[in-house]
Amino acid sequence: MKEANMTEESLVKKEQSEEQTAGCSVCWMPGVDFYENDDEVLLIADLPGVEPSNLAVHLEGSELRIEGRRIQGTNGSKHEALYHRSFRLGEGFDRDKIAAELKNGVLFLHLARSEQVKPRQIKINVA
Amino acid sequence: MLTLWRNWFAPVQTQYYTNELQREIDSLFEGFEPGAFFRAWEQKSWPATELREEVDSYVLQTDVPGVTREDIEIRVENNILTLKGERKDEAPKGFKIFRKERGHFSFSKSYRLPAQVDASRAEAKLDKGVLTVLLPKTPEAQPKQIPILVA
Repeated sequence: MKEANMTEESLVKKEQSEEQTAGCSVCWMPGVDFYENDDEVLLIADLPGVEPSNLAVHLEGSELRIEGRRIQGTNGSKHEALYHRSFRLGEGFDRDKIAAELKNGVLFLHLARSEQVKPRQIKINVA
Repeated sequence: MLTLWRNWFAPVQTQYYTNELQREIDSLFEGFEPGAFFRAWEQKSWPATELREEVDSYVLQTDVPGVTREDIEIRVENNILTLKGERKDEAPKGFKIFRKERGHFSFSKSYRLPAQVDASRAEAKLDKGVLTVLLPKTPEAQPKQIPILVA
């Protein structure tokens, strides 16, 4: 499982600096876990209070950016907070097969590996 | 305003009150030395919690991402509100971990409710990983509109 050992380096090549967060009043960097199997890398991030409609996952070039806007308070005292985190994606992911789900304030982002890098079982034909 | 809240909703540390004397001493300071409650609040400020005052209620909001309803316990006893919860940390089936920042957590937070709260009408909800406890004010504590009679 050579690929497995290489994943961290290739996926999280360099975490982006926080320059994009400048200008927002409350910014949080959510905690993130990475899991993997042969088919995909699964990113899990804590985003409590974020509505699905206020969550954006961008992939621009190799930069994967997660942004969640959270509106707190009610009528009288509304304020907004921003969750922000970005990573540089390595090669070997299928850019068209990125799926996100938000469950109990936790984001599950499935990054499918491209077919080329998936380990393959080679059938041995018995003569 | 924040200081006022902190006094009212003085967070209680369970291990703090090991004996009645300590409790007496603490109660002497209640309302007089906000600093002590500030410190207690800071210590108990995880998970992130926000307390707001609305016209007819107080709203206590705690971030508990990934915690399910079954893993939360909310109680009011002797006018002390206790929130307890736990997040189990299980690797998704068939996956291996390679980077970990989140994890298992458990919390227990207690707050002494001010007299202005009618605890019998308290309500809680869990939505998008945020636990919200609504603490209605007693009728006496709610603002009153005074009608102006036209002579």
